[in-house]
Amino acid sequence: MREPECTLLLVDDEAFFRGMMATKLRQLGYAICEAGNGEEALEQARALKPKLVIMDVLMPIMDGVAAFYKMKEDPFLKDVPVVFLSAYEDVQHNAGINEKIAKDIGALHCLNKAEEINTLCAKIDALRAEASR
Amino acid sequence: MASGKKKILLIDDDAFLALAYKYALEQAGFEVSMLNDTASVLKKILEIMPDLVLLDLIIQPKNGFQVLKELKDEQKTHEIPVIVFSNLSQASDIEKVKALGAADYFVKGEDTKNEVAERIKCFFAPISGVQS
Repeated sequence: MREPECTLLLVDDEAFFRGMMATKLRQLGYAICEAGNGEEALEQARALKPKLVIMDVLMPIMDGVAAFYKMKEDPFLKDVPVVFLSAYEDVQHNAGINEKIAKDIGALHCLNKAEEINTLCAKIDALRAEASR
Repeated sequence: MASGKKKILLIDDDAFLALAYKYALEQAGFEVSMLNDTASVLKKILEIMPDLVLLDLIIQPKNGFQVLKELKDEQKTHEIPVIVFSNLSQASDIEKVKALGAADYFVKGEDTKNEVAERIKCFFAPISGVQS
């Protein structure tokens, strides 16, 4: 089990996917708070200062990359690690490139949202451990 | 009212990459529009009349090679510079797009976002020099 204060913020406009991810991550021992777009994510992050933000890319009102750049401008949130989730078809080419770009802009990673949910959550768990070291 | 900023049209179907570069290029002082497919690419270009097109090659329904040829064949768009921005890094791909009229070729992930912005600034610099 994680320490009780280990809160992850899960940001995705697809409620069904977000619910599945939240359930799986709770099973891994995390406390999960949720947001449905980038604007809500910023509000939640300011209120809770999570240990990690899992951020979808395409969302209404404010996309995930815009929310990420706003976090980086906010002294209170700039050090909160962010993992992006993005669906892409050309895994062979895009996975490596998106990881490089994520690191270049200051995020932890960009994972493929189309991956199997247990694999995705295991990767998030490993990234969270890496970020806390 | 015109902003006076150079307009870039970024054509890429990878949402994460496109948004990451859009905001980085905006921070560098460019005005950036995006297209995530090539269904109505010529219409969009004629509407925006960008100063530069950044074009992915692996994109649908028309691939980047077809789009580049279409832009260079069209009188109203053939002078708009196109920089190809792609995963493909074979010399043959680079030669092919240059033969089709691409101004330059960036391999995705090879340069940082700041390096990409600098290369684009440098691309515009000689034009400004001639005008001044």
